[in-house]
Amino acid sequence: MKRLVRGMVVLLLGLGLGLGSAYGALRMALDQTSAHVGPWRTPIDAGGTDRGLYTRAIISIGALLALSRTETVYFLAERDDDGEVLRGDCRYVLTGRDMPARWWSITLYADDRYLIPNDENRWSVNDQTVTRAEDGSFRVSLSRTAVEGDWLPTGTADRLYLTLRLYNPEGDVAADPASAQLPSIKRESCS
Amino acid sequence: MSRFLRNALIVLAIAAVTHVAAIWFVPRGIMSLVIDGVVERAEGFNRTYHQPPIDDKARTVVLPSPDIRYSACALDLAAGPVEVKAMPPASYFSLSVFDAITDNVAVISNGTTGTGPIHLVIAAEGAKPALPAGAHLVTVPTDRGLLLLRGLAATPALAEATEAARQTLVCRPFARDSAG
Repeated sequence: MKRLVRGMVVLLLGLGLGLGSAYGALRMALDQTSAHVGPWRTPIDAGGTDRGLYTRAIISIGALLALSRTETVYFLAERDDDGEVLRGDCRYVLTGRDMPARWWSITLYADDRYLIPNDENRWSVNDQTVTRAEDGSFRVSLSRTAVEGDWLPTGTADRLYLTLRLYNPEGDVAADPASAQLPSIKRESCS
Repeated sequence: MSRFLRNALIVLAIAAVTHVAAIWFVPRGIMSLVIDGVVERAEGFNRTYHQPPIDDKARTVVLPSPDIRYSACALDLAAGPVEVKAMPPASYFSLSVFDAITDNVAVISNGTTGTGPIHLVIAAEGAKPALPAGAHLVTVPTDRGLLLLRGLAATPALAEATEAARQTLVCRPFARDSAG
């Protein structure tokens, strides 16, 4: 009996250590195989065929069915310009300009990576719908309550997750994603 | 060797095997679930499935884009190649092929083909089907995979054009004589 219990403990410790180290390695792999632009990061090759074991696994969890970067470059943000986690009870402003791609979009998700229910059915802005100032810049607010102009509701989400898609990227973006000029994410206030 | 050291080595050995097995299994397991889901909705392999417009109730795959209409076809290449055809609109439209471990083995969009028809013959690696004129051969290293159509639906007008275009999607076993 004592030997059986000892065997079970050894087995459970091994399984726990293996799964825990796999989770930690996946988090590390995402950081180490990503290019960073301010608060945004992009896996160097989200959908290609020459990805490493770890990149393939983390993308299958967090961005399944991502395309190769010559077709689409995906930038992800879960923190603001100051490195603080994006919170659903805070108000943020994204400021930027058109990005070099056939078309682009910025989509707001909850921490579970799904769209946030809201009465307005607003989940994204894109190059077709965004409002531009005279100088070509745009400004998009994220907040629980309505904001004049382009506004994406944060609903009842606890944490926020942004995805910026550049479809058919132009210029050097596919070859060098770190060279992209992307919107800033500034926190204005929290409730 | 002390009992403690022996047990510690066993723990490390189990951990190493578990670590590698988990990393190896994750993409295969997730992709298998997705392919099975498409098979269920399309009522079989090599058949098209048009996903409803994306909203907050779309929970099949993470990070769905509300600016895109998606259609899919679960591929089973064990019995032979599969033929895929579609007529794109003027706006962004792509067909991408994923293998059973989530790799994007091919993508073709109207950014390169223009507004003419897209015609793919998708086959298992090593197969060399005779291609109809204008068709592209895509080889997949696994017997199962997924074809995914993405069409831009960023405005109601674009959504209408994409909706019409994705209804032209054909996904069926490839019969050379009837391929035309």
